Amino acid sequence: MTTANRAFFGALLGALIALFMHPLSRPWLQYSFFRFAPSHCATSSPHLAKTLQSLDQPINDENLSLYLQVAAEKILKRQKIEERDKLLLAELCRNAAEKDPLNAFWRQSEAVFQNELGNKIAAKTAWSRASKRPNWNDFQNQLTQNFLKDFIIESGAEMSWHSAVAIQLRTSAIPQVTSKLGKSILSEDQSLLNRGETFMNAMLIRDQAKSKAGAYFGYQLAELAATGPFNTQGSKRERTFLREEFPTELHKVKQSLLADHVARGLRENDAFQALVFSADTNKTLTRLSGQSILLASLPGALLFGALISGILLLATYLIPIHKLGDPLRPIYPTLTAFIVGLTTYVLTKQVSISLWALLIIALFSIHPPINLISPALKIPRLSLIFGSFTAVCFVSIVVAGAIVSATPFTTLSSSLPDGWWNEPTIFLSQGLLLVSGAFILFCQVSAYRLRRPAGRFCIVVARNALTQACFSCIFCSIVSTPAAIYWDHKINIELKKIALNETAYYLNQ
Amino acid sequence: MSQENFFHLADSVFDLDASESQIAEFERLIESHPDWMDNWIDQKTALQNSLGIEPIEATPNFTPSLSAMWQAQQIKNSLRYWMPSAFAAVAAAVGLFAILQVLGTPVQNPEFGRPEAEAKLGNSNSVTFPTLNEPLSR
Repeated sequence: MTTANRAFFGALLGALIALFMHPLSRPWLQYSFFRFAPSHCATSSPHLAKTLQSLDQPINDENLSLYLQVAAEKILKRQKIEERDKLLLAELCRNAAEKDPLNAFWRQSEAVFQNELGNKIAAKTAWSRASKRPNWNDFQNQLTQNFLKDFIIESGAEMSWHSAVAIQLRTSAIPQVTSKLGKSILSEDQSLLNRGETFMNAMLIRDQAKSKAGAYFGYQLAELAATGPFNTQGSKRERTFLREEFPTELHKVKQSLLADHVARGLRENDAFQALVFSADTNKTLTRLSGQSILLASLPGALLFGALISGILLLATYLIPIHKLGDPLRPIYPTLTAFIVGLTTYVLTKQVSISLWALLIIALFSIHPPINLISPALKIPRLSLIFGSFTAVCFVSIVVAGAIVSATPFTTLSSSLPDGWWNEPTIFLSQGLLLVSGAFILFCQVSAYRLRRPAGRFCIVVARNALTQACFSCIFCSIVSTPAAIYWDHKINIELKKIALNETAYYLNQ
Repeated sequence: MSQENFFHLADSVFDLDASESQIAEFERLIESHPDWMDNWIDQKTALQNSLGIEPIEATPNFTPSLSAMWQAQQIKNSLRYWMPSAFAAVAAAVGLFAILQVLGTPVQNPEFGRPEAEAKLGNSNSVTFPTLNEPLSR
């Protein structure tokens, strides 16, 4: 071993020890390396309505908000809520509204549950009061902050995919049921004043729901309030005219302040339409989520690739290579080829893959005219290069498999676009079969040309390739860990902004 | 040391299995008890004769080759041989610690979890809507 080689291996060892010892880098090596189980936080966090398993007493605003969110989800799913529970929630909302008089969220929620109870007048009164409040806070941000704190404890470090999960788990059930109530109130009372109040309620939701989905319900309700409800759909021209006339009509009935608010709200609706509810915003979120998964998993996945390469390398050294010089009886490879080909067909129903597997193994029944004059087996340079190329392909497949099996990916896969990762097992198995088949085929041909036993030739080339793969993976993992921490921090700033106020993020971008 | 123990020591030295201190001890004993070495050779010869093993005639290059191999093995076992590995390991570890220490500062967001930060983010008044008077590049 040369001095440079010794120094290289020493550096790899020292760097690995440092990465596992430092509390900042240690968490970055866990996912895709030894941690594949689903995240407890993402599946059963007590802080979010979509994940909680049981509800605590509604002794504070956050807990009451969780009750309301769960009830709203039930209403949307048409699940039964007991009358006494609806009454209790309406009462709790009223109490909360008295303690927090500037927050329209309580009054709107009260209106929803009064409406569910059939108390139309009480619902209309609460709705009207809500429209005069300046704020709307459903406490999801406080709950999201608590959720993120728990996630940091679970992972051991702050990672951007936590924020991506928080975005995915944010509920917009309350804005949706409130918007539904607003439409119902509008259809029953089409007076200018009611349209104005509904418009103001819609503005509060649109501006302060802090999620794109939630804001969209506010936006829709505001547009409906501006044009007025139609029994028929109405022409686009007619609707646009009514929308533009709405502030003027309010001016005519001496509601100048409300008219100014409505005029500004309609202008802002246009900005929301252009900047928030566009397809580009989905692309941004998908890109950031994908990057966050990759950064959290890549260092560990590379170590996993090194581990698999190391195990295979060890296996090649455990094989008694000196016994592989004797040619196999043709019946063994032929039988094995048929069994493997048939099994592959039964499992995958893919004719081409099954034939490929059959061909590769069956080739071992052909014996090269072995020349043992030269005792030392000198592997040609081309074979070594091909072996290295195959090792790169093999390790890439293993790393990809580790990434898609790790916790960040399995938690966030639903927010990603369709791709091979939806059916990773089939895709990666096919890749492995193709790569290993190509390697064996190449070694068969090379061994035949060199007049050497094919099995021994395969193992010698594989040893060289797997050694390179193993140490390259460790090196890449060491280099990628600090880089991943650095880039993840940058992405986390963006994703956290989206998690805590998605609409503001897109508007200010 | 007894003669029997000397025989064990000689076996391990000639099997290249002895440590540096054992080799030094072996050399000292040869000087102090040259008859023990003769006895050991006689014993080995007798054993080979009884088993019918022909004594191996060393080739002219045997001794220099063996001593070269032995020297190479000694070098590999020495601390000096692995010094570059140790230096590189320490350098890499220290370098990574330094990088991680620098990275650690911005990663721990000081505003995280503070209610003021939440209030700032939650304030929708901070949203600035674009107007038609502003340049398109904004």
